Amino acid sequence: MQWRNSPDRYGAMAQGFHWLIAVLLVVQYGIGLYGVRLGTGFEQLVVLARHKSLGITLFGLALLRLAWRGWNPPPPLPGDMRRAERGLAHASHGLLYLLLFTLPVTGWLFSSASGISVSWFGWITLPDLVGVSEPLADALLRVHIGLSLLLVLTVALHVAAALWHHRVRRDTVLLRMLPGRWGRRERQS
Amino acid sequence: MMRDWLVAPAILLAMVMATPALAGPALAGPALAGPPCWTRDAADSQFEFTGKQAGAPAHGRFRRFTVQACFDPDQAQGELEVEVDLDSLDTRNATRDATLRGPEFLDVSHYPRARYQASDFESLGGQHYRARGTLTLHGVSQPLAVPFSFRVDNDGRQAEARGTAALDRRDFDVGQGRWAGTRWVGAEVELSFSLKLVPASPP
Repeated sequence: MQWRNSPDRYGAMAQGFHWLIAVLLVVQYGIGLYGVRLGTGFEQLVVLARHKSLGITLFGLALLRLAWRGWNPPPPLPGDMRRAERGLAHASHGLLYLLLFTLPVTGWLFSSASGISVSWFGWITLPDLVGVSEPLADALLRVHIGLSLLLVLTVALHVAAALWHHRVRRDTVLLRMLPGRWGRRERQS
Repeated sequence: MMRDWLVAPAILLAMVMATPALAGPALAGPALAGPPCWTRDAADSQFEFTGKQAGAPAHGRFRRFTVQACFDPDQAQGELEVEVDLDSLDTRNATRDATLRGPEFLDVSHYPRARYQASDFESLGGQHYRARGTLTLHGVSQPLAVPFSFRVDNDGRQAEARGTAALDRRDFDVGQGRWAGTRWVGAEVELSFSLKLVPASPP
């Protein structure tokens, strides 16, 4: 197993970040959606507290992931991709990173504006980022939910693009993010 | 003769000066029978509480409460009554406020007020004292010791009292049903007050 990326494969660290964040995002989205649909009450408090702890975890993971990526750049895209395709790939990856940061931060801002300090699993209390304001809290919640919908669309595009690489272009772009023997399987053209 | 003219006004003057001292107790009458009494100055007094919600501190305050205190700091003797309008609680989150006022917590429609009464005080040295009184909250009365500092300023025209106390909400059956557990809403609630007091007539 190789930790660092190689010219044609993602290393174990980059893969670990990718799949861990992918799984946690699905869980996080489910918890958030479930939480807002619950009425005010004990269960909502518990569910939203977990959503916040997990959101802060994802924020930390995104920071570590970006730091790792800066130190260990990803393998290049296949040389025969068109300009527009490359542009779309870079733009959607950039947007995914942007959402990985802006979603937790807008959630944290919303919690501060609504007068509820964020605790990370009951161990660390995070500082309040803004003063309490109901109109600001309402606006931040709208932004947070809007960004989460944008995340769903961007992830859908990301998955579609991975399948397009694998099925249509038949290149290694999907395979190089897969661990172990799936990833090392040679492409038969 | 000359001396008599000087002495007579001196005696008169002495008598005039002595009059308030002699008449004073009789005129002031009931006020001197007990320690001086105080009430809160509504503008500057704060009464706050802090609990824990999902691991993070949650601060709130009571907007309406009354204080009646008669206290002799030298003897550490007196009477204290604080009454809090629980509907006036404010944690800066309307949903949380509604939950705290609701039937599973303070149930303010049935128990609109909390009352603390103390007539047993202890000097802790300096300007520090401890009240040993009874808190009645949510229909439950429990003893509660409240340490505080007390200072009279401005020749008796103002006083200041500050203190903190901690209570366990379970002692008062606050937090019913699923809220009874303490993992998501902490058991301990800290109270803190900073009271600006002005003279009041005895109750």
